[in-house]
Amino acid sequence: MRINELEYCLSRLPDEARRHFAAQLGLKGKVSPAELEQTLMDPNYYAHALKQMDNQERKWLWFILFQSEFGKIKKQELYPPKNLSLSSVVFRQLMGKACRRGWIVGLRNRQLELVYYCPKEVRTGWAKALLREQSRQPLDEDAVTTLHANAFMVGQAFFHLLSSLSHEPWLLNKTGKIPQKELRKMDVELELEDIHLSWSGWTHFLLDVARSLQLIVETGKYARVNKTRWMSWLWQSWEDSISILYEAVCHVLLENHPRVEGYRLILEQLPTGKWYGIEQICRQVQILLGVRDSPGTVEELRDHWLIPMACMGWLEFGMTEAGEHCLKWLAYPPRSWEDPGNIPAYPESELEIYVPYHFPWNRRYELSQWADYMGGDYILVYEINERSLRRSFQYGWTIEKMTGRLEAWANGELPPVFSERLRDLWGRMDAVYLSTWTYLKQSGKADAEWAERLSETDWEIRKCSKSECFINATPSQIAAWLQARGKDVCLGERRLPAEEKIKSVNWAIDFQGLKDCRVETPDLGRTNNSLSLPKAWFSGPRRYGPEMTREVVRQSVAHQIPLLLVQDGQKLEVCPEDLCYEQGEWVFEAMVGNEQKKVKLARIQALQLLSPSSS
Amino acid sequence: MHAKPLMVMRNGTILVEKWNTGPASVLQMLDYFARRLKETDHLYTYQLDEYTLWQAAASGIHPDFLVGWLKKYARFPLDSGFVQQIRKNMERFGMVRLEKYNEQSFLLHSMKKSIIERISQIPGLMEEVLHLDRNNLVLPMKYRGRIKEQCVKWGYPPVDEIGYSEGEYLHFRLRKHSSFSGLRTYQQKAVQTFCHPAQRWLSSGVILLPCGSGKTVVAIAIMGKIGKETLILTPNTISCKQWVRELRDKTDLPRESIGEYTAEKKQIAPVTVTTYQMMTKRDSKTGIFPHLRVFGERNWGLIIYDEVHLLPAPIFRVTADLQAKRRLGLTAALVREDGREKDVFTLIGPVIFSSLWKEMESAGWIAEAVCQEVRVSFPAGQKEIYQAAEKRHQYRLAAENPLKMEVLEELLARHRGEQILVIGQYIDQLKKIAARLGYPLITGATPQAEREKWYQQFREKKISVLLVSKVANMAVDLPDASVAIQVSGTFGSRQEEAQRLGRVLRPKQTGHKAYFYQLVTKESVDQEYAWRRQAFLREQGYRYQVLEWGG
Repeated sequence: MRINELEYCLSRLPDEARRHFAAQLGLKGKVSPAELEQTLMDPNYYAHALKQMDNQERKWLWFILFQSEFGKIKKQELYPPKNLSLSSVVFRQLMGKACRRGWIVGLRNRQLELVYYCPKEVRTGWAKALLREQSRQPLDEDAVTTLHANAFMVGQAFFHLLSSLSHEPWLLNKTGKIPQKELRKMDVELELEDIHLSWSGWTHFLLDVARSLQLIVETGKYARVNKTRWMSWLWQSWEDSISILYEAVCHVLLENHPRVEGYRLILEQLPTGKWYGIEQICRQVQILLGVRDSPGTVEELRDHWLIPMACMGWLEFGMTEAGEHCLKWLAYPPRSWEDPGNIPAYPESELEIYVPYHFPWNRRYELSQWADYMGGDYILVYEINERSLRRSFQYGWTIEKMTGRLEAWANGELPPVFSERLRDLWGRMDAVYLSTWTYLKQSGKADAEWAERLSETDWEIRKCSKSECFINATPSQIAAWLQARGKDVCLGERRLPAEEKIKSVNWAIDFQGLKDCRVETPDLGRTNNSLSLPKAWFSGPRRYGPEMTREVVRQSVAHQIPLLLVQDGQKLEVCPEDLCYEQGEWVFEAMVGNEQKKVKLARIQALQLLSPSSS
Repeated sequence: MHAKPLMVMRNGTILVEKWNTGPASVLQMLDYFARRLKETDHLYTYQLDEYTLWQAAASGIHPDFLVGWLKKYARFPLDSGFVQQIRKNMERFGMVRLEKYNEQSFLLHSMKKSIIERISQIPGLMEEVLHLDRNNLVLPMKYRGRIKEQCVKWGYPPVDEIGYSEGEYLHFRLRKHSSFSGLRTYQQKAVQTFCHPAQRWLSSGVILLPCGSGKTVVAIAIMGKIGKETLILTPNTISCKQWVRELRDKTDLPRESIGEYTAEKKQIAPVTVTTYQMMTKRDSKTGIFPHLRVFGERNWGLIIYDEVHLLPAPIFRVTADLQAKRRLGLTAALVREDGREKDVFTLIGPVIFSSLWKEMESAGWIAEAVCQEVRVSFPAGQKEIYQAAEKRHQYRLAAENPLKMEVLEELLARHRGEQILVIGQYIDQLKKIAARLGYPLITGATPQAEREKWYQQFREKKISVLLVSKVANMAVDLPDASVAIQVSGTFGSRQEEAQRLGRVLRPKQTGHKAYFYQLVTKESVDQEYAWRRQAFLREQGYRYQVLEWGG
């Protein structure tokens, strides 16, 4: 699951910053991160705040939701886009206000670069508020034609890709890439609807998803699964893994589509099981925020998110007779879903095995070691054939083990013809079976009593002599058994093989790389009260000497306070960056109009620090 | 018991656990709108597709009712696309209607503008189409079949209400006697369904009944009810003769009213029986099919296609032009290895009556069959020869395994006194058996008269064992065969296997079971092909016991 970004950030800020947020939010006394988080996740809070926002603030909100990349703004990108008609100064002031309220935090990476970040929970809070403000009714079921739907498909497709890769790693080509041949072959097997994707196919896309979850490694000659994480993935519940997959899929799909990400957050708030018109929602969001979005919004949303998501099974995508695009969320994790209960595996005489879509991954992986996936949706079909049995050899399966597993999964005996057919097929394979047994030798006089007790265990035993035998169990199992009966055990020259353990992997996804960053409260647009700068600097444009001018600009850069300056008789509002001495002159860089320019201090006739709004 | 027993997949496959079928009405309802594909160890598998949905619509089921019913019993959610597909298919049924305009032409009515446009644009038709208005076209009667085929291809099955040419009147009655006491209940139901369908246009179609359950009798009863001159197409001369015999035995039709149109005889009578082979015999000089004229020789009121799954392509083409005639298809298994079951639907009609083999067995209408696969090892040294042989020769080597002879002898001894058929694929193998055991052998090369003689003797129990090649696969009436031993079979024909079992399924007067043995060479392709052949019967619920010879 995605980590709770808000909780993560709040808990890493100093008490003082949290106290400040609490004061801004109207919370009194000592406030815990949890209380703060609760307020900052309360939809009513955002609904109320939205009502209080003026036009400029609403435009700023538009920027955060629809133009920042997943809520991230790099320091050098701290300028409002042209279409919002916000001045840089106002924009900074609004950013500063958001920082003070805890909507935006600073993330500083190891290179000490600063990024402003609006955690997902905050953006979701806004999305909820924006949807709540709208009057919307679900569409009549009959009024919509479903264009794309593929219920419950992605989990199995993803599993099939990775299990195939784990059975047989792909040889990379000379350029270190996965050969197209493998991708195309797998595309056919995945059974996902053939649509136009920004990727060369579904396999290509799902591999990117797997990379984002660190489930594959491409080093040396091969692309293969990351064994530790793959094992951990298999031991997750079906529901949890589908929820994680959802987050990863959205992240990969929308990495270059910030506008779609904003709408995604809003559309995610729609209830499950009803059709809603998309254009209408998008239009109302634009009206609410006072912004006219550039053309192609719905098309971008449709092509880069809705259709792929429908093909993977999370939602259905359709169209009304009037041509409006619509979506309907399906009851599929991370949304609440109806567990169809315990459905066993059905082994059929044709050597086909039917399993339900939510069959546990670890069992499904065992099944895939000796049966080929043949397709399906709610019920998946696997088939045992010569090729799949040949694969089973590398995992050490025997007929007995396979039938034992199937009986357990099917809650009963296998059809006699099934076992018979399996045995026939196995018999035709003509393979040599190798297995590891433990050699046991009594050092002293042979003790008939415990040897007899040993034969009462479930282990298979082949006697060589009175004091020697082979046992089909690991040395550690036999040692434990013997020690429990007071026998001294000498484990021979070889060390005990380490028991294979499933390492616990933390699946809390951190797409923003929060864990690699220091969280801080940016001092963007801080008020003079907390900075203690001369009031005169704020009171109006004044002429200063070169040194004082430099000092005012230095403070402006340090605290990111916008500056009003008079140059060549003209007034300019700028946010100076990087004050430096170049070729005998002091200069600073700033956006002037739409251009990054160097402003020489010597040419400034008067200047004033612009006080940010204290509201 | 689960309240939601149906596992509905998006491709229309519906699985039902055999021990958890929900209320009794669930399976009954499924039969109305889905086809039962198979019964395996744990599951019944049904298939819902456009054809079954049209059929459901034809029988008056409303899409809302069907969707509601599915939602009530489906264990997994039905997605909108799937539901819309159901609605769309059902609503498409009847969007095109064909009605009589006058004797030479018919009216095509559709509210769907695109259909009207598409039909008007069919090459060759444009000049002959009369546009009455935006929803109605008038077309010459000769295009009736072609238009129906085309509409089905586009997914709009037309309701054909033009009616049938009545055909010449024919009157006869069924004759009851010691070996025929009248129609059984399911036979009556089949006749009733065909002759008095819920909708008039449905009075053409296919009746699907297991071998040995009396399809011929059903067809004769239908002929009697309809009372029109009838043309009967059968797969071969033997079955043609069998039809003639049955007609003479079970009806009071005078001899001259029953004609046989074969290579031997060219009689055309009010009831004429012929073969597909005869109809598709080409004139070597002109390349035409001269015998197809039989279709136009008389004013037939009914055409019967026996073993309709074998219908050859030229007959399909002729049938497209015979839409004015009532059509009845008969088969035990509508399995075509060429996948042309849909053409049967379009040109003959939908399946209008069917019954499951195992249900017929439990009701006692067909004999309870014990199916056994007897596995025989290669004799010493033979396996090495088999393994070294080229792939294409391996099957024959395995099928003709000489040790099968010993097994056969033992089985014949075990069933001494019973009527036994020994069936084989390879003539050499059968000849060897005949030479060693002294039983009569019928192959394709056996003259008709001689075949008839042996069949007659077998029927009269003058001989108890008969060796037959694949000529006896179909439509050969051997009423008292109770044991069939297949020493070798075709590579993997499911149809053939069903037919061969069918040879012994007629209910036994003594109430004894029927035995069907397959002799198979162990650990060879023979075993694999046998498995494939068994598929259809397995899906019908038959289970093969495996016996190791000498094991």
